[in-house]
Amino acid sequence: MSHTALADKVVLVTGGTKGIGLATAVAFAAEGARTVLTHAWGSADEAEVSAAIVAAGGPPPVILQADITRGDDTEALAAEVAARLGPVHAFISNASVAMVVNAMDDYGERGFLKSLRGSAWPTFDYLTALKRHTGAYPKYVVVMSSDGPDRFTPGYDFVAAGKAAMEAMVKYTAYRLRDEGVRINVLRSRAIRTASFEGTFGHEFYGFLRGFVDEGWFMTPDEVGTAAMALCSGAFDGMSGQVLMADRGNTFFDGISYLYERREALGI
Amino acid sequence: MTREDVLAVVVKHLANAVDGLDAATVDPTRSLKEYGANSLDIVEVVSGAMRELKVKVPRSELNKLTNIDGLVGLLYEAKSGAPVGAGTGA
Repeated sequence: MSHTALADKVVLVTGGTKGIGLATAVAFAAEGARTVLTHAWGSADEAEVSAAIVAAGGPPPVILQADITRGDDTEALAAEVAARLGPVHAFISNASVAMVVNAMDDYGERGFLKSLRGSAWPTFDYLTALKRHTGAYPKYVVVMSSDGPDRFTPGYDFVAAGKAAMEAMVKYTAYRLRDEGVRINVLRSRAIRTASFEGTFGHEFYGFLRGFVDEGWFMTPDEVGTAAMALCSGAFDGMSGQVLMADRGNTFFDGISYLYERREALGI
Repeated sequence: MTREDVLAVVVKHLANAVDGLDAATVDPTRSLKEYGANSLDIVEVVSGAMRELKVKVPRSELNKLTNIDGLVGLLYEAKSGAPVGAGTGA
């Protein structure tokens, strides 16, 4: 993999000031990319974020507020990126919001539609806005996802629906943009301890999981971030419209049968 | 800007977020949830109000709120330039 393929390239990461988004931005920065990081709430320390990017080897990031659920924010962001940096080489669609469901009583049209708006639509809102304002689609698009559509995850009803809709649209978008040289892929992962994980599942869930698995079972933001960067490196240009899983192979085996095999070690 | 002005901003965003809500009937001693706001609606109300008022409130403070009045108090403190603290509302 060339260490210069991403040097000086503009990389946009939504939700790029924390967790997986920041780890992804750091991975790009290590390749010399110019990073643009967005946030909705501004709870991250921007000086710390900038220091992490610079320490990795990249120029200081551009940090901008943009709520992915607001079309006016998307337009303003795309216009600013176009004016300050020009076309985006890689777009990492990491930020996503959806409602956690605890019971059937939580099922409501408004919550469902807002969840789709916040989880399925932003990637395509950004793609079309970047095209309008920079004149080009990003060459690489990586959309962060999870295995929620395929495996039960507590509270994930609407989250999973949004991920499933987004993944279907990624495949169609790969078709629509095939003649533009765009490579768009989904990168799933699971069980990564970030503020978002804690906010979605609560600290109790982590404690429960630790009763069955050790800390090493959890994926790290760095692993996912590096995988995302690799997809944009040029080495994987044969792949587009794919749903890829970064889980170290865990999803295949970590079920009831795995617990049975480890029953003595776990004392169950 | 008065506290009542801040309340009006919050109520306006609540009425925008929740279908069929009559802003004139909103009682600030009640919570956003009691008016049918789900978690995404609440984020929409709070972020919309913060934008309009041009203030920022730490997310950690928002988690302590129990009613609309508490949110109004937090936003009003931020607008007034006072330190934003744990006023949770009655």
